Amino acid sequence: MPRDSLGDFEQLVLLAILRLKDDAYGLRIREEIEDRARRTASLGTVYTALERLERKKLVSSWTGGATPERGGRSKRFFKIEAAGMLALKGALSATKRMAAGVEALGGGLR
Amino acid sequence: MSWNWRCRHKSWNWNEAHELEQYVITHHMDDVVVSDREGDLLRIHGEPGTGKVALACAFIEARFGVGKSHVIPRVLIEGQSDRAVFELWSVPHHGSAAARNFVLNPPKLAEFFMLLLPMKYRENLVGDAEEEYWTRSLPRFGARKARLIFWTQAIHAWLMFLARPLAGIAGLAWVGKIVDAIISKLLR
Repeated sequence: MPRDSLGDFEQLVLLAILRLKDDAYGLRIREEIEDRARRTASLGTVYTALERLERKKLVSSWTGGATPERGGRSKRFFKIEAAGMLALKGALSATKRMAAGVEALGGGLR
Repeated sequence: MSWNWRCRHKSWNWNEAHELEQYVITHHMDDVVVSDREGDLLRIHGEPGTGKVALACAFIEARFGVGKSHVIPRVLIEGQSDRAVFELWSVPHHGSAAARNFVLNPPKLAEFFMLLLPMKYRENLVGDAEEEYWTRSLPRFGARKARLIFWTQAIHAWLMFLARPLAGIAGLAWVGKIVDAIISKLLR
């Protein structure tokens, strides 16, 4: 696997960030993945992936406000960078190309 | 629908409809106790000696002890001395077995373990875990299960950190999968 290629969980995290727009922080990202992809993930899993994506410069983050129900701790919001968008598009189109025309998938994915 | 509880050797009658519709408690005790709602926070305030600790106790016992479907994500008691709040936690409960020995706050030791994680955003991770505890797990599952979920989050975060350097040890991956399965089952 090339160094900058995305794992399947990283793809889910990036898609969740895109879906959540300005509300993309750890807990919401995890919930989005669980709701939409029906995939269980702990907060540790999500943060490990987020830190890895940030190291690859595919996402960036900033600190948000603290609320009482968070014990006064701030949220960290994430947004996808241009390189992240490019990597995600590449990964998704590769999956699409691989799935196209596969009979077992009902004539391929759209 | 109404229920009766005993708490601190007193009894109250609670009207569910009143609570769910208005989320404002204006009576239920002879002495003055007022509460109101701010987002997901239920605030109970009043002068010392007005019985708000006892009322909060009834709340908590109703939600977490008896296990009925009240929506009280968080209770904040204002204007009380530490001693009075301590009395609230140590008050004898007369509900189910689960009502005894409960602790409302997330487990401090698990929080401490999470803060030891050599991760860049561990503070934010703990914040998220606390938010999940107060706004999702606690109202939905009650204190005991919510604390268990909090612990599994702490353990899993450590496993995720350890999994990288020890990726060759197949057993560790299995432990991670088992913890994932536990979390998934707990959240169902």
